[in-house]
Amino acid sequence: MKNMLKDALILMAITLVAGAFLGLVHEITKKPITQQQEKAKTDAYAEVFKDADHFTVMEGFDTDQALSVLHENNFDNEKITEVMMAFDKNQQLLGYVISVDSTEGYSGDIVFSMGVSLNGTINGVSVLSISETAGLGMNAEELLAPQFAGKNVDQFSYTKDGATIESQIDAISGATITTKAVTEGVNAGLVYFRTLSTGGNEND
Amino acid sequence: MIKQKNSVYSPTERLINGVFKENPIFVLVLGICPTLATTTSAVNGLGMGLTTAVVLALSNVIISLLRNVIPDKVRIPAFIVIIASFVTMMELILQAYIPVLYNSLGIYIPLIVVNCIVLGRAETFASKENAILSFFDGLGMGIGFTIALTIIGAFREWLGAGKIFGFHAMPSNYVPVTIFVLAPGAFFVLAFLTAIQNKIKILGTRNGKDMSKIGSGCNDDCLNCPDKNGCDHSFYDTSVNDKSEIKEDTNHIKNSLPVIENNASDDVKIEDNINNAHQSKPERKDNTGKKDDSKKSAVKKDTTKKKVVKDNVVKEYVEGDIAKEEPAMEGLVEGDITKQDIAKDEISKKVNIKKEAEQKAGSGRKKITAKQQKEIKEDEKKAKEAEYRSELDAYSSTDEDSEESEGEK
Repeated sequence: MKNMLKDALILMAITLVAGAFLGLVHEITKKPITQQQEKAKTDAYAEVFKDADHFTVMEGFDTDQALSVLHENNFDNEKITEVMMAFDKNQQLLGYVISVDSTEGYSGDIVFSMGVSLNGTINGVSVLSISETAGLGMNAEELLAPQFAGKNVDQFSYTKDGATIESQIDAISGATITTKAVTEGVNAGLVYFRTLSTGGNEND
Repeated sequence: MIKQKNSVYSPTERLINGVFKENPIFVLVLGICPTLATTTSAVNGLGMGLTTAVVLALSNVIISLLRNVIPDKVRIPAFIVIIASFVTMMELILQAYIPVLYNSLGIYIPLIVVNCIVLGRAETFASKENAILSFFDGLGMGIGFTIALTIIGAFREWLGAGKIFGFHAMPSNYVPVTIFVLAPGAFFVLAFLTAIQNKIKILGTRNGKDMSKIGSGCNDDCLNCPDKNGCDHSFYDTSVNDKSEIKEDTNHIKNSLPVIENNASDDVKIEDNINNAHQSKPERKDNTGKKDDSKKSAVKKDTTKKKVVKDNVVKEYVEGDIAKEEPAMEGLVEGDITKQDIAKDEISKKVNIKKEAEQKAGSGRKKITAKQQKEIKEDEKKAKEAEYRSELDAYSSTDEDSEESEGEK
């Protein structure tokens, strides 16, 4: 009994010291980690909207409202997580950067951001987080994302037989589920973008 | 744990050991989960290997420093707390300063906590040896792990994506064999690489080259394995016999070579006899003097442990507490246990007879003729062998093969 207590106390002491060191390292790395995450985000924004000079968070963005918009349009597996407004040097609104979280991925969520100009043209798609099968779905960034850039269509669809029209996306062979998730995600983003632009027009 | 004087280990020996002799992947085949999962490219393998190496080296040092503080009963949770802390620190540091690597390794960084190499080294090495040796042991193992992972990653990337370290390394008309970057590919590559390096070692031995420096750690039979004490390390509650253990140990050090004529207690003499019996055995596959030395001291260390272990085994059988036995014995059916029991009884009987014989010989031990000595030795040898045999029986069937297959441990 006495031994047991002693053992427990020693273990507790070790745990306490370990906890203290963890806290220390956490404090030291907290700032760099937030900086890195911010940097990763702005990099992603810049990538999908090369013309833009700076980005600001869109005021009045509500995830629940965005979700209900998507539900109305039958997008049940996508979420809009963030909307940024892209401005040029003269404070002129160029378009939006919409971050979409698609839960339909083969293993876990696929989060990507897409830059959409005011006229509805997709400037670029950049994957923020993905954990698909290595060698197949993981290639979404290289194989899928570039296919969306520069296109102005209402809705994308994917095909396995080689894309013939503008709205078609070549599926990654062996990763159809990933392709579907990304394509649907982009479509969801477009749907939300249209509510933004019409809403914006009304305000004008 | 007792401090091992005249240690057979040295920093450089530990480094070589980790890279070649007991390479965690190719020889020990430990930590296969991260190996299979993260080696989709050479860079990932390298990153994973280096991260693990840092964790291994640091946790080994801390565990070694605390080895006299950590109570035996709670050592596993204590080790895990220490390892987990280092892993979390590494995770935070990677996230803050090398986010690219952090993103590509993902979930496998926190999973280093449960990598068996890290806990394995803590248990078999760091909890017994000093901090410097433990550091180099962890570093050696880490480097071995890194090399293995990088090579596997490079092969998988080369065959599965036509690149090495992200650079194209295949003719442009090469169609990548996607399966190599999927999980099965990892098994293929690992199997081929292990086979190739085993082949090299076997060929080297056959051509009479000295492979002792890079040979697999388990090349020799288990009886003489210098790391054998790693296998049976304190699955028993050794705290009861702490004192006698220390006494015996100092005796061993005092009389560097055990002789029958020494003045220590009967117990120790019997142990020494057993040592003699061991050493009189013809050494197998052994040609370097250095190795011989290491084996002797290993056997010595081993017998000291064995004694304590044996006591405990007997005690625990009396108490009927089989649960405290080695985990491997849990799988035994009842019949085996009784067999085991009888074997142990026989051994203790034999040992008793020996004691009597020695007492008969009286105070003047020098009177024992060489012939008698030889007889005693023979008996001891037999008893010891019987014990080993009964122990071997107790191990599961997979362990029975371990003498032949070098990869197993």
